[in-house]
Amino acid sequence: MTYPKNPDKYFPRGIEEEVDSVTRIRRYFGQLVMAVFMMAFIGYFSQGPNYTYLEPGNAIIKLSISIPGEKKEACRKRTREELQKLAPNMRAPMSCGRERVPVSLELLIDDKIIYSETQDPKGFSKDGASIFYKRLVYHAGVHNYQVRLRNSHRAEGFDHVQDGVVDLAEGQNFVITFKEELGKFRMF
Amino acid sequence: MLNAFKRTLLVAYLWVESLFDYIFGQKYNPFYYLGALTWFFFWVVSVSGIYLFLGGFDTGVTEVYDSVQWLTHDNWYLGGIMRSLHRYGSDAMVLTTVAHLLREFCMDRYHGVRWFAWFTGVPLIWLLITSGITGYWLVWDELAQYLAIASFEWLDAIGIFSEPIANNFLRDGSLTDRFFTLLIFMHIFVPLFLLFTMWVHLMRMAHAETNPPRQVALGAFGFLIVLSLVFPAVSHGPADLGKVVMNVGLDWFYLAGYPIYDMWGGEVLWIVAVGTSFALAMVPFIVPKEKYIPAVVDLPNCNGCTRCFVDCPFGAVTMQPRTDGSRYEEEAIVKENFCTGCGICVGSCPASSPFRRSEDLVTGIDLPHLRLSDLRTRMTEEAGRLSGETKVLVFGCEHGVDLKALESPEVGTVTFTCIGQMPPSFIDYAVNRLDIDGIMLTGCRSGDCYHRLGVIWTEERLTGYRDPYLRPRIERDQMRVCWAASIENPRLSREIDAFKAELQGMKASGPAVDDETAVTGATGE
Repeated sequence: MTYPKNPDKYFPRGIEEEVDSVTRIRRYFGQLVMAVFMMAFIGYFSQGPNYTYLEPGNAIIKLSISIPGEKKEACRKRTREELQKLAPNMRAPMSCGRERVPVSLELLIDDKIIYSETQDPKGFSKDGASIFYKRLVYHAGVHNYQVRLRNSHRAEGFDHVQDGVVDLAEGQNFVITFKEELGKFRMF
Repeated sequence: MLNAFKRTLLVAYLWVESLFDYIFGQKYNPFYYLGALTWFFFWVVSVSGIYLFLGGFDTGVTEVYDSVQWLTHDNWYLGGIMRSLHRYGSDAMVLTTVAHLLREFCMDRYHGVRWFAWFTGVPLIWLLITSGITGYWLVWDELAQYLAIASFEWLDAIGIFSEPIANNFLRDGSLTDRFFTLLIFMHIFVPLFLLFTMWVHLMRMAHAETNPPRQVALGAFGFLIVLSLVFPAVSHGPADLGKVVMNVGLDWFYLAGYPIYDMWGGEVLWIVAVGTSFALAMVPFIVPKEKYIPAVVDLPNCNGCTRCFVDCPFGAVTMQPRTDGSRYEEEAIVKENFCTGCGICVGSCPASSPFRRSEDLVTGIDLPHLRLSDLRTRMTEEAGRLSGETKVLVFGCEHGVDLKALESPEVGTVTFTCIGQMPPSFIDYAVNRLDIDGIMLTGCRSGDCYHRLGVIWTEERLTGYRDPYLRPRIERDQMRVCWAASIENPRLSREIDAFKAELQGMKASGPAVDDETAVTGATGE
């Protein structure tokens, strides 16, 4: 089907608005006002108002530690009867459980505990590492700190303890990690 | 509660749109092209993004900030404007998306076959927001640093990763080029998937409009260009993982969720985000609505002309080989799940002529709850009721002005489900058989038909643009069109009064023929 080149011309009266010159000027003005309003709206909210993530005078202490606890059960030798019950290709002499103990982590600043958490091992068999990731807001200044970690069977006390002094600058990102190979905490 | 909210929102929209109708004219009112404008902004963002990627952006983690600075400042006349277009086009996309969503909600456009577009619109929001956030990472300034750390901490809150992904941002040097390349890949892949989902979003919409009218597109583009020149998008200071970003200027269109994360944590934000999305997606299924009654084909009156198939706004009519041994090759068939019962197919059927002599007017395709014969009877009764010097019949629809309030001894009304249900021959019949002086057509605002295409198809049928045409013997001065929303009763009343006055004047001076508006075409009978 061939359509008319200028369909508007063929529309019956009433569909196309008849606009006098005063209305046309009002429309142009209205369009200008709307455009300025939209520009101001998008321009402003695309970069403001500012959001304060950290109040002045504060810093962030970030704990990021991933460490496996000790195995929950020590390896033991299988008895002859136990070995007989296993398929021939499965007869390993030692039986080692996969599950690990939970790991506890504490952070003290100026002798006050500001973080204390125990994490279960990851994984369906609870055989993975225990993971700590925490952001803590603390006021800037010179502080004593102690970070301590327990990843063994012991009920009390800690396996790894480190003390130190930190001069937290405003807006500093003070990170505490644990280097498993070296068996000690690292700060940066 | 929900209904009160919907009603309030609807009235607010209709009033704001009235203002925009005045300022832009109904034909170019941007509110009627929110979906198409979203597509348009997508293309603006895509083209500007491709330019930025090829025009100087460096993907190395240590080089990226400087490359963006070069594009923004040294190459401001091209790279800077492109960057601003990229930013503001994205923001405008969020704005039109939200306005589109709220509008479709308050106008009740998510039931029946429309559930699919509504439902697929929900993942679109996630993809849109994700596209924006991944874009902000790439600048690798302080804002990017804040966003990247918070985003990955939020992902870590799911608890499925063996190591926190946020560890990639512990300190300078922990972020590798390789990880940064992954971020860039995400910013390309997610928008591509967004585009694909936008296509899926429209799959059940026949004749979907993905381009706004040229005037609207040019206006939107011009506004983005001016905004880019007046308020160029710039970066924050370079990222430094040794320091915390204390204060940051957020793009609230995309990043409003981050303060929620900081206040309430990752778990709460997940519950809010997933819960809101789920509730939104379920809206078509939990908000009750009368079930649509689908159209029914009457094979003895269907000649397989395909007009209903072409005109259906939701692709509910398909054609299949004839099953009744008729000489015609095909017959129409209605997919009941897709049909909204709008009746546009009835208006398109060549058999839908009130001039037909059969006692019970049966057409090729009809609505069981509002049959064409019922409408002819209603029209005849209304015409018989009218008295006075100037008799006017108003043909309208269920979603525009309430026509009952307009009735008077000189004004009769016939309400169709959609104005597209009205075959043009009804006008001919009213004027030449029922001795009506003038016909006033009304319906939803132009470009905003509840059933999508009823107003457009009616305009095209009246002007010889589309089958079935209005016969040329009808004087165009005997017709008026006033597309008006449900709140515009006073405007329609004024238009009817003015029309009546004009008809009286014509009667006094004799009929006039306006060559300019004469329409030629085949008959609708």
